[in-house]
Amino acid sequence: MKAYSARTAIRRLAIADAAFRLGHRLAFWTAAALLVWSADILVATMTAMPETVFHTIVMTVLGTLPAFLLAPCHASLGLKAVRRIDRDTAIESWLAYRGGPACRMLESRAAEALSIADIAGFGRPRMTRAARVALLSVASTGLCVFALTQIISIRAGYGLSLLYPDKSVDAVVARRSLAEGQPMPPYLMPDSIGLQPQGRDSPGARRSGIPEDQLDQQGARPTFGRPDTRDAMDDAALPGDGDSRDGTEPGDTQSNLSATSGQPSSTGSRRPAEDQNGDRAGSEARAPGYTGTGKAMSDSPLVDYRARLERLFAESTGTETALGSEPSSATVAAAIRQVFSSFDTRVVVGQTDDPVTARVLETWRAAFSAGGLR
Amino acid sequence: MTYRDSHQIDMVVAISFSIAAGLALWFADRLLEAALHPLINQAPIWLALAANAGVEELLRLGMALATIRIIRKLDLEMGLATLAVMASCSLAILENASYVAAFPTLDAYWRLGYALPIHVCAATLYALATAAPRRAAARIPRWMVVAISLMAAWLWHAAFNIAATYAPFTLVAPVGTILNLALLAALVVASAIRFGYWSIYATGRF
Repeated sequence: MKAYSARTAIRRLAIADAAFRLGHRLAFWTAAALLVWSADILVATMTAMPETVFHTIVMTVLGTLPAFLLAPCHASLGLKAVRRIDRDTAIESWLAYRGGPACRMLESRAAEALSIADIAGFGRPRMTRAARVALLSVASTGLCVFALTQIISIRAGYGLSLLYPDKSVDAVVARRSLAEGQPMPPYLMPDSIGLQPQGRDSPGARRSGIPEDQLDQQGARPTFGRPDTRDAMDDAALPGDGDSRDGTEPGDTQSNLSATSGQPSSTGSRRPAEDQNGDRAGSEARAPGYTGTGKAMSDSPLVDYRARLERLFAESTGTETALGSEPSSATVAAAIRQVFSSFDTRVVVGQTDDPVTARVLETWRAAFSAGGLR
Repeated sequence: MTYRDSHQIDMVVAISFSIAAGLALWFADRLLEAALHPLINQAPIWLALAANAGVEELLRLGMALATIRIIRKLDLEMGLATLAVMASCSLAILENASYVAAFPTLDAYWRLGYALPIHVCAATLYALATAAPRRAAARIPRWMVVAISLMAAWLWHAAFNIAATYAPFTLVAPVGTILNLALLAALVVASAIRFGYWSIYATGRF
């Protein structure tokens, strides 16, 4: 082996050794991430942890990978790698020699030692016993917590949860029905969409004359207008159909949409029908230095509840609405208030009496309200 | 208590300090950017973004220099300079959390690929520039290496801030992720070689 080969071999030795050590760190990170991720799912399953908090914790865990890889390392790693394969300190002598008449001799001896080590393999750096125990403990704890999490998640009716558990009413009811061998409720039957109109509607249901593919979309929102007219949502959904039949201006349509849906009509608005379809599509999230598609982490449950309630009501009573064909807005508002009265939460927010807290809040606002997020 | 135990406790303390330093750095960034806001408010957005990136990079370099000063003062191993990298990592994690709070969308996960590595790579570059031992044959003075690394990190950071504002998200996220992760991988290996395998690297036979 010549000098060039000795240099190549020593380079390969250092890179292989570094790769193994980085692999150890990666293993530690994987074990720790598994533990925290499983615990995160467990807490999300057993408590009402917000989905945003769940994802923040997951992002934090994933974001610690560079910290694990770049944690400080000892300066002696290279020397340890050399000493592991060095016969008669030939390689170390060659590396330490600054140049002189013995250089060729030392190089040939180092080349010989390196070539032998190369054939047998450079060997792997070994973890200390304490490190091995720590790694195995964290990994096994993570696996146990993960298994426990999945058992609890399945028993709670959420199924296997690799991310935030699916706590929607539909999913839980459907899974429980399947688990108990009972037929699913008709509104959750997968083929209920494909049924003929005669089988789909309850006796006495009013035929709207709307095509089948729009029935679900219509079911996702209330129809408060006259049956023979399209409402503002339909106008907004069909941008190509510019001539509105009731003569409403586009701006008025937007304001009607906002007022009707209870959601902002500017950027960030989401139509209930879209929510019902579950695509979670929203407007683009944008700030200086950041853009995103605006795909929400979770659906709005209120829209789902409203659509589900109307469908259940129509299936059980045979009528689409108890408010009549032309309810006034006041009637609708009163009905919604009555139906969702159990959701009503009253929070009394009083002014803080603590002057120190008030001053801190004011300072915080002054410091951070001026600039955007970077 | 053995020497190894005390060393491990020292490391835990040092890492805790670096995480706290990262949080402090994030607040310092925010305060300085808020203070500069009236000055750059009228400037074009791209200029404001570049200025903010400059503020962050200058503060990060300041932290790297402070770290190396402490290391030299206490006569510690130079490899501890990567504690400043951990501080930047905690800063990036905090920034990601703030973005999730501001924009609770799944797109925030892309920041792990194209935003977090920017902070970590810049800090690693500064650690290598300020703390890594240098071969005897090195001719470029260290201050110049530090200045070049600052300029490189600033340009890289500003370029991605501007791209994230003007370029389509569907392009910036995957391309930025690939570029930044590749750079991060290279810097991780470089850092390990320079700090951990210096005894081989310094010989010039590497």
